[in-house]
Amino acid sequence: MPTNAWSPLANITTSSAVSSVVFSNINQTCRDLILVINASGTSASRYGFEVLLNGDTTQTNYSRVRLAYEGSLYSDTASATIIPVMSPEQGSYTVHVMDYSATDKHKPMLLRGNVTGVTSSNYVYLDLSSGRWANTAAVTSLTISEIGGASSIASGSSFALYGVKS
Amino acid sequence: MGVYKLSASGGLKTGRTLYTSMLAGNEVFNPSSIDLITTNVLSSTQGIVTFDLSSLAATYKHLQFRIVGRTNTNGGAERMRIRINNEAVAEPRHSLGGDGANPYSGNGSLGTDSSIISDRLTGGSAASGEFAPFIVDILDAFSTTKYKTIRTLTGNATAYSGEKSVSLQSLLYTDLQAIGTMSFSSGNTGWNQQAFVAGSRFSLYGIRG
Repeated sequence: MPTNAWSPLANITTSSAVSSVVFSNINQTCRDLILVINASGTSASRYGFEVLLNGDTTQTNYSRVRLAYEGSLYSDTASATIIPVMSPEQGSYTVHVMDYSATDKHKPMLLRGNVTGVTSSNYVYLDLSSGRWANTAAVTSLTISEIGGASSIASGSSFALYGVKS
Repeated sequence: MGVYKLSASGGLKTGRTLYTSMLAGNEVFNPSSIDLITTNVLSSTQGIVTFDLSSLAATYKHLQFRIVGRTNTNGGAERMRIRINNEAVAEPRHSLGGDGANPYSGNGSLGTDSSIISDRLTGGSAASGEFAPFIVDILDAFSTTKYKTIRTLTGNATAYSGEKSVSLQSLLYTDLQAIGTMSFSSGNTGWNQQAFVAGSRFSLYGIRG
């Protein structure tokens, strides 16, 4: 018998500027995680915010390949995690963490998102990224954190976490 | 409006519970719009993975596969291939992606032996534990008045040199018949050249219309 596939796990809306948002004690009964971000940053410029699994800040434990547009289209790669970019203008991102509760796989991630650049062409950003956390541990927490301390997550930013059953 | 729950023991007053809601203490039944239909986690190496979708037409409008896959190829990556209704036909395809150095785009069919390439499955020479993610959407899967659109979001953030990728791909199944089966295999140049390894996972979801 089919079962309801998506379950809302947690929802965070910031009530003030914060340096990071953390989802902890993530329910382990699902197979994939979907994180929906609708957020902005406090800096006048665009800044990247890293998605960390289980609080792991060692960037060499991550791998990323990206297709992005910010005035021109490019592709790059890094030993780093996927990075939603935030600006004063609202950005929307969907992050998939696949097989997060499995203990026999690294954790593949997919990110798709954009900042439209309505108020300034400097904010235009479109991102399609694939990531991997080179660890077989089950994911029990997700942290969205600023990089380098130059910006914060603005008040009113929303982060919704869903679990996908299998 | 309230409701009473009556018990077999006691009188009418002592054996009853008064609820102010018609739910009478039960949880709200909220029919889902996205259902998990089935999951296949391979327990051994398998060349082709096929799903019979014919019983789903009455209930669902769109379908989604969520796949985490790896093949036994000797290289660092291998292409995912999809066939619809087991037809070995060339269908229109478009892609937009990046390999970590350059963006790329393309269009055109893929010869006569498969329907769609969805880059790129992790290969057997990649580090242990590496698997590639795929999200495959099939829109109006059971329509008999439209061609069917299949789109994929996929990537391979492997540590294996030269095999990184992220891409969006789309396929048009130029047939008015409903989709009855979806099959997945791997091969850089043809259908079923390599095999999915144990642990590869295929989950099918139905979206109600």
